Amino acid sequence: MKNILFLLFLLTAASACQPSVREADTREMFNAEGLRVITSFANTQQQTMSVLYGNESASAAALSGYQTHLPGEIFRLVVYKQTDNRLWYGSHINGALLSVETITSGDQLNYKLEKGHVSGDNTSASDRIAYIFSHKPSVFP
Amino acid sequence: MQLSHRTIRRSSIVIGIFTLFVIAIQFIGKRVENPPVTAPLKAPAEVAEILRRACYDCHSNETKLTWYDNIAPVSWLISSDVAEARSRFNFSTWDTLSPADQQGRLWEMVNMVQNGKMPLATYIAAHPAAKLTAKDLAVLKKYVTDGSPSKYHDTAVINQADKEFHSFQKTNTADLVAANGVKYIPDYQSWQVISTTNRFDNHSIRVVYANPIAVKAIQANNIHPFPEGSAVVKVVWNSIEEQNGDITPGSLNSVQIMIKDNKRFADSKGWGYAKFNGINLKPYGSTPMFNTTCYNCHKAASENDYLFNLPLPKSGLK
Repeated sequence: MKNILFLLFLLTAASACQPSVREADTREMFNAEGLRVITSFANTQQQTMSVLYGNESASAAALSGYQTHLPGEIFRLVVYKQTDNRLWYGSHINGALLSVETITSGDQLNYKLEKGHVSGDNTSASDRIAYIFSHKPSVFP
Repeated sequence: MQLSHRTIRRSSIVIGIFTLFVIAIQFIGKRVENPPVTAPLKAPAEVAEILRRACYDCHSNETKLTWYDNIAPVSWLISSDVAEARSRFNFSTWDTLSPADQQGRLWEMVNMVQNGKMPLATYIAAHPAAKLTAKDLAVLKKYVTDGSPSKYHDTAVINQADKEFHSFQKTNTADLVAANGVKYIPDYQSWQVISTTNRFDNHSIRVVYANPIAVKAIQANNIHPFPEGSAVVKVVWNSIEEQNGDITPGSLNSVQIMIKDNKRFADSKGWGYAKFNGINLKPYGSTPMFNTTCYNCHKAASENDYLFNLPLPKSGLK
């Protein structure tokens, strides 16, 4: 019994010594689960910053100007609130996550608001698809 | 207590030797000299007054010394500080810099002031008037912001972006390496995005990626310092800005890299920097010395192990 108590004490002590991240210090990064960046954009009046991701077939569709779609495309738009970068006057950096939207292609295009909410007047699925597909892919070297 | 004759004699000898030593060192070492002012900065009076008060003693050829600044060994320290400061930027030869470099230096200066790195604390201790107030900083911020206005719907950037778009991903990146030995990283697009930024100083929009070592370090808040082998890649586009606030990426500005290699880059806290410019990814810097220029500016972010664009901590999200 004594031994077990001692072992418990040791375990507790060891876990207390583990360096744990204070909740307020944690830094969240959106996990795109293997999707790659198609483009990024921002609006300083709405104070939003966005990253559009896609899988390989989605990137190919984006490069073709979103004209043709094949089944299996996944587009994901992540929108953040714009924040001032405290370390550099002259720079904005993404702040809190506002929304995550996904478009997938099958027999037709499917839109889903995965997280958060979308503001503005045009929030129907077709409006959002048209908005997301209005963004040309960025030039990557 | 009465000092013995012998003690007084010994003390006199020591004082004598010390005095002779101090006099002797006055004839050696470098002194601050003021070369001619050839191409000075032309700034509004309000801005010039602040810069003269807080910066000119070191960052210009108009260094004003007090009497004790002229006495060695203090004069040696000051001479070395002033030489270093003038090599970074010199308001007396300001117009020899390109307009883009001038803007870059001014924004760097404002940020060094904002982050408390400049003027140096040791300088402020001896020259209290050099301490800049919040109002001074606001004046400087307005000056740099006015100097970097948005150019809406910039057709030069748009046309160049269209051209680059058609030659999409055709750059051969196999042998790309910067002068300090930092290699281009072709597969960064499979890494995790850690942040996205846009800047109104140099009108650019960016996506920042990190390799698995750096991502793990950020998640565990093990970033003081980042572990060996961490790598960060920042892709920078010249932005296309519209009056409605829209910012979209235009032509490719550069791909910038930081790698943590404590042995190779011991002089810059372990970070090796590289910048590959334009769609052809031309390495920036002809000698390894460019690494110091990058490091100097990144000192403004020393609290985040020299990374400006770490994702914000939860406490920083509004």
